[in-house]
Amino acid sequence: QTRLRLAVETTGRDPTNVMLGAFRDELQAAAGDEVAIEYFEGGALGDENALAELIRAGQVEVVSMGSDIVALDSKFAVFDMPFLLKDKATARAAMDGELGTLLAESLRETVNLEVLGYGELGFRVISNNVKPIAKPEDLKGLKLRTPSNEGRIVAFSALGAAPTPMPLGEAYVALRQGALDGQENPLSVIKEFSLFEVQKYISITNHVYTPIILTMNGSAWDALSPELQAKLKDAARKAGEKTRQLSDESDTKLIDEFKAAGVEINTIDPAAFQAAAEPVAEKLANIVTPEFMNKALEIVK
Amino acid sequence: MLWLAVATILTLCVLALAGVPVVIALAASVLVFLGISGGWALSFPQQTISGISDYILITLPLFILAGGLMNAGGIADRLFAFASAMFGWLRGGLAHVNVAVSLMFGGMIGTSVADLAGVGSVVIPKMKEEGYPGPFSAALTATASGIGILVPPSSPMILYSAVTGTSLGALFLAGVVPGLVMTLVLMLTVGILARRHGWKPMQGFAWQELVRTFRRAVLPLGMPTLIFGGLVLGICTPSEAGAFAVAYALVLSMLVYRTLSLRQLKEVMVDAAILTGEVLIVVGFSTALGWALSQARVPIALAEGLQYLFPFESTIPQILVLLGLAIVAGMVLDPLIPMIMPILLPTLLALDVDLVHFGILMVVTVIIGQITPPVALALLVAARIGQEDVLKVVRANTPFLLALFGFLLLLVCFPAISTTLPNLLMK
Amino acid sequence: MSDIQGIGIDIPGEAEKVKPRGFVNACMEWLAVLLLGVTTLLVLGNALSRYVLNMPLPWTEELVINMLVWLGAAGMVIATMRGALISCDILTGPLPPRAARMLMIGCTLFSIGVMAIFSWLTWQYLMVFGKDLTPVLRIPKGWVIGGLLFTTVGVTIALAANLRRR
Ligand code: NA
Ligand code: NA
Repeated sequence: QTRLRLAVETTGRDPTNVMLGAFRDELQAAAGDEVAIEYFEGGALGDENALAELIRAGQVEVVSMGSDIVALDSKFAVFDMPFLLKDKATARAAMDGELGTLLAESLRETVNLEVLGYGELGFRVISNNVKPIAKPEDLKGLKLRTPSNEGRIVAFSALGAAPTPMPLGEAYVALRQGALDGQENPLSVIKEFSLFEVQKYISITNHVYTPIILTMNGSAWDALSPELQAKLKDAARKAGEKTRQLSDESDTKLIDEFKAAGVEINTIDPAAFQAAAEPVAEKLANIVTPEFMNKALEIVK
Repeated sequence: MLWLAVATILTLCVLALAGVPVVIALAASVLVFLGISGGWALSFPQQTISGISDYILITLPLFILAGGLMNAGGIADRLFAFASAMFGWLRGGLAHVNVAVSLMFGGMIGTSVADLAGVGSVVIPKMKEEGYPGPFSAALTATASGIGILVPPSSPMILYSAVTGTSLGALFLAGVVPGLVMTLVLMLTVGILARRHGWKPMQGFAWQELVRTFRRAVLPLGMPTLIFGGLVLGICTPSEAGAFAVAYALVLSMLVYRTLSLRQLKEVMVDAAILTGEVLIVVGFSTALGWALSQARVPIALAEGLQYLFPFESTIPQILVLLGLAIVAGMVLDPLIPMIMPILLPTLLALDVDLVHFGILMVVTVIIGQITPPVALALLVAARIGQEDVLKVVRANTPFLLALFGFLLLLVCFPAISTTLPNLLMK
Repeated sequence: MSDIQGIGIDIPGEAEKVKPRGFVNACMEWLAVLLLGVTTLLVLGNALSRYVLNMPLPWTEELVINMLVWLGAAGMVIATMRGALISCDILTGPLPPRAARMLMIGCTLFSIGVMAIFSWLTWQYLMVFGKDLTPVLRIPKGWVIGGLLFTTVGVTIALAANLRRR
């Protein structure tokens, strides 16, 4: 019997937890007594950064991670290239195709983690109190809360906004008091932190796509039989499907909910933004290496 | 599982009581936990690092430094004169003035001891000169110094915010009204004592005197105005307010009043570093201890126990039990908040208690802890400043201690006293 | 009772306690002054740049966290050298001098042991994860971990030095 300790920072219906939970259920159904699964959710073992250390130390086997994976492998900063992936179909095809494979190889090489599969946290959108973001110039001088993430800061500076890293928990107050004009997050996070209550406009910019990465300790992976390895990958693929379904359903539902709450919602024409974001590629190339940046741009073209 | 927790907590208590430094006792208890549970040993440095790498903690040295600069700048005399003009005419005038100066000073400094250092050396000798009993003077000054950590800035609130993730801005604002209420409660107690003992006013009331002393105090009072105004208007975050406060205090004491030498400046900075260093390590090790205890499922057991004992809608009985625990711990532990909050927090979250409200209650618990034996830091410092016998000071403090218990109960029953201001300004 | 040394106030009757001098102490003090001064300027600069130039300096946050840990390290080492670690002497205060001295030596030896074990764990942690990069500045996490290691190794050495002096 193989012991598998699964861990995730989030709880409930958060997509990273859904991913790991679905993986557990699928694997249990497929492998039965072959595996003994222990499940730790809600930061029982620590936050995403702590989990990233525990998995490498072999203290847990499988971890479901979001954008914090950049701390382990800077190639994942490629997702901070604004408007890289123009819609969900393109993004999913890229993850299931060559881009996903390249990233998985890189993660294995740098920190010895095996990618079991990719899920979907979704696209990020911009909300603010100044005006709807319809063309790139609308971002000029906008004080935007971003996560403490080099790629995101570089990207928004290049687009003319004033990125302000701040813990997400402080954002509500800062937006309400006007210390910040806006912020950028997936719709689900805007709902979870009630940010729509203090924002007038939400622009469906889809500027950054965030995948969920289900990772496994490399040595633990190598110790598995090929049959069991196949079962793990299959369970991870199904779990990824589930998060993509969830992402589609929740986006439609949330847009309706925010409209009902009085938030003005608009969509954008990505072409102008893509052009405006081109200089960012060069700056991000410093982080992810120029070869990888070119390769990624080629793949998604 | 629970006996693992018992072994961990027992290690901490036995070692601390045996006179081992608090940080060492904390570290040893986590090592004992790791030894028995056989967990991943590197969790200890990992948790410690995650506890101390928190941006909000930078507020701590900034406000300690600002307060130290104000103290070294000889601000206390000006505030004392202004408070005398305002409250000196009351029966027991000087005692009222003592409380009022603590409030004004409290708007500039973040620890009770800094408040005491500023106020005590000015007020205690004056009170004794005017014939107030020495132990009473020291006791009142010690208790009143607690106002200093209730009104912003406040080191205990910074630690509470770092450990629980509660918004520090909201906590600072939440402390303002309770700080005023505590001032009122202490003044009422003084009033009752003054009537019983027939204490006299210290001076008559005169408008010119009020205006004259106000003009001398207006620059120092600009500091609380700056901090409070900045937070209310959302101009700055608490850490930025700290940096502005340092700049303000530096300009005031080095350029305007010219009372601070470069040598003193260095000493004040070193002292701020020392206090920061100790508290930072306590925060780090406490985070690790909190992690260890939650691995041992202590918070779950605590929450379930409370819900079993009080299966009601109202959370007041549960809050009272938790505060009771904190008060007992606070009699001995110092600093209290980083050590006890990792244990209480999961329970508070499970019970859905307002964390801003509970934060204010915890600060009052810290104040009570500082004036209750066996470890009564504020009373001890006040007794040393006034050169009085500690036991006599403890005895003289009884009416104020009782008043504070009443004050705490009032805050428990009426959360609005704390939460109205932050809700009004931040939501 | 809690030791009130190191709280940063002058109390009548306390002045005769001599503050340690010497090269190491001076280095630590100046390190603390430098770090606190620069940190204050960084926080101030970030605020001013945000409001005056509408251009926040997003890199200050990580730098400040790093410097804070080193500031604390310097402060903690100074505190230990001054024998000012917060401790509780309710039970030990009333002991006769001989017993008190024995207990003090025992406590110090124990403290040295605990800090040495923790330092060893921190060292291992540094070796495994010290090369990880922070998300904004991409500086190695080893800088923060190193600050913690400096603290605990410094405390261990200072405790041992105190023991020798007595
Ligand atoms: Na204060
Ligand atoms: Na006490």
